[in-house]
Amino acid sequence: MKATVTAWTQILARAAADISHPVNLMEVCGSHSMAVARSGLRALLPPNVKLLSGPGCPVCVSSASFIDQAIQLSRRGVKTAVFGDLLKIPGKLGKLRDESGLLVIYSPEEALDFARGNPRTETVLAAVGFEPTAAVGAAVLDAAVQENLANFSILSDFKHLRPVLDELASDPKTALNGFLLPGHVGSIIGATGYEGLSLPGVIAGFDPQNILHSLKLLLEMIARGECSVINNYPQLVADHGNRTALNMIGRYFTAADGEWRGLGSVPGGCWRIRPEYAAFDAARKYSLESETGDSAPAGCRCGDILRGYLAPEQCPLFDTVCTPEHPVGSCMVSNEGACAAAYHYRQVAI
Amino acid sequence: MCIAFPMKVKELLPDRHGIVENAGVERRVSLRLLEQCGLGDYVLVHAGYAIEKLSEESALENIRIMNELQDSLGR
Repeated sequence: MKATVTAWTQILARAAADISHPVNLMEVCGSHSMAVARSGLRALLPPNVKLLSGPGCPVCVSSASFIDQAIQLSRRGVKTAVFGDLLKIPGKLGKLRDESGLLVIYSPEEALDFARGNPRTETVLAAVGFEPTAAVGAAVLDAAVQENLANFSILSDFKHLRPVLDELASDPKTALNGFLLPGHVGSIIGATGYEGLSLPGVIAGFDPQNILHSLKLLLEMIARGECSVINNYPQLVADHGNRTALNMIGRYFTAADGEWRGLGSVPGGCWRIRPEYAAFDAARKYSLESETGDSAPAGCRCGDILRGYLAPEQCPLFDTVCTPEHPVGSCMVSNEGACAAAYHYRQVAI
Repeated sequence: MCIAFPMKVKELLPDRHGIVENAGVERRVSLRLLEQCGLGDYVLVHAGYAIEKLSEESALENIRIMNELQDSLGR
């Protein structure tokens, strides 16, 4: 469904007309944060409807403890491979970008190849991500296990998104009424992977027209008091997702309690490597301690922003002390963080 | 990290890998996470792995949108 800006304003107003209370919607995908901020489509929403950016950016919610563990490994002489977007995220020990000897990679296969080519060098892939990256991590583990690559292991901060959605749905402070659901996670877990939420949700793509249409469908469900999942991105998201990928995740990982930065410990919120593969689990292999608890820099409100309690613009550090050039918290550091999105497009509101 | 990009399978390699291509850029990716994959298929590539197949129409539309998102950030 495509329409003009003026038409969308009317379409959304009509969809929300029968809702007499304030409506809080949340998107939980870094790319959605970007697409929404770039298109300025919040300006088209009826006055009683707010669209919040939630903890949809895996880099933003990676724990300080994970960063510290990666730093510790690197300092112990382990060849530590990381994605570039982790370099500037703060841990208590500092930032990965200040460590020498890191292997910055695009694909985990590069870490595997390094380990294969350097059998006497201990190599660790330190990775974060939601289900798509967890699936990739599982495939990498599969290769390492089959080849018995004894010098290779993974430091996993892979996150399980679904439990966080359930938590956010029941948070009275955020007071959500519905979700815009991520498409790439959906392509792995399927539309069925989102079923059973206590709030309605619409799986959306990244085209602003699709997002606006998805918001219309969501508002209509809320008006009807309906609680279902509508798949508005069927080109990418199949009903049952990618079974090969899901089986791979299930073979090597198990859902465990773990920390999401800003949200604290989330039951079942992390993908932990199964005990039978302990030899490939860097945390176990190197007996790394994990510390819980927030270590946010003074004044940083990333935790509140990730939960949707605050919009980026409401953080006192936003665009004053904290900018993409001099980021303080993870939401500004990451290219897909809510604060980075709000900052990049702050001049372009309609 | 959310970024996944549609690319077209140009060549199938042994050991469940393939060469994919978009706009003149070629990448060697793993096809391990797909049940099956053929030449000419469009796949969504994430961190060096193909994670999903999509139709040509959806792929081209997706590419257009992702390009717009990335261009505006100067990437």
